[in-house]
Amino acid sequence: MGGKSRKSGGVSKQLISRLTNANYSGGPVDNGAKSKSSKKEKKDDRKTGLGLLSD
Amino acid sequence: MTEKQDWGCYLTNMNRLGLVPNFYCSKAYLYACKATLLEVEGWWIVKDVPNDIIMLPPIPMDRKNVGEPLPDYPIDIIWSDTPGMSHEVLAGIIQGNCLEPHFLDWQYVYDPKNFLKLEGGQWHTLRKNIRHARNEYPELYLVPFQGYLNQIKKLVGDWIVERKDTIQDAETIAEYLIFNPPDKCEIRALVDIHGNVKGVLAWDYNWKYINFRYCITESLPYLNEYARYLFYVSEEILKDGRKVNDGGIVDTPGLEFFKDRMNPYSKTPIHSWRKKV
Repeated sequence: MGGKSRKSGGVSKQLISRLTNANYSGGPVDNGAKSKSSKKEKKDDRKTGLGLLSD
Repeated sequence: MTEKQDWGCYLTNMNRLGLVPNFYCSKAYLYACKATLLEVEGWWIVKDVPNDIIMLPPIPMDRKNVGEPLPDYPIDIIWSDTPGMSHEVLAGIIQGNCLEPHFLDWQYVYDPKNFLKLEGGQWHTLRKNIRHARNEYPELYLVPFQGYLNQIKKLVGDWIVERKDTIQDAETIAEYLIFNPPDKCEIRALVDIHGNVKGVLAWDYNWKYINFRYCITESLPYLNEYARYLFYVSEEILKDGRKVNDGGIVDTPGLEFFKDRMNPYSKTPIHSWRKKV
């Protein structure tokens, strides 16, 4: 799944701003659940061998 | 030369010519990444205009031009070739542009029927992980996304930002799942019994494959693997009858290991064509 970038990888500042300004990133989600911390994700990566490989 | 955004012309002609599509060949994906279809002297060219990149192999509108070279049209890059067009044929089409193939990514294709039983040693790890997942998350369901839009957008937005330095094709992901979902795609939310969204899955189609475009989940043990499994054994995927194009590994060795372990029906290299140095 997912595709490769046709230009260099990473996210543009414009997209970050767009997501943040629309409240699609940062802060709690509507149902009150918090997003997972990066520390937790790294632990999960090791445990499953898959972790963040969602693409 | 004319420009439009009706990629159906390109995809239909590809089918007529008997070419096997790659992962980027769907109306939904080409819409989300804002590709443009050019008509150049009897040939179709799909282009990422802002980046000046030809995304797919040029193909002739008329079958009688198969094997002929593309009329004079300068090309610096063809982003992705297709498994159905040999290097010799593509080199013949773009002769004069001095391009050569470079590995871009793998293309994994799976047969959904193979996920039904998970029997045998080759399925050992997946079978074990699915069992763990069922114990951890006994009640998770794939449901239509409409009632969960805000949660989905938040999940995907956070997922993108958390990977801002390494993620690939982020703009297309954001268009597809947040800002402007294509008409020609399917999006499902992975929810628990309390209505909390734990993941989002999206796919689209071409005449040959179901393209499993995105599987984004919370980073919990076994959850992503389980979400993929639920997709493969869902009634709508099994009934469809087409095999599933699960794309590549986007430069992630761990993902290659994972996808190999899921026993692909086929694993084919896809190449970019760039100027010879």
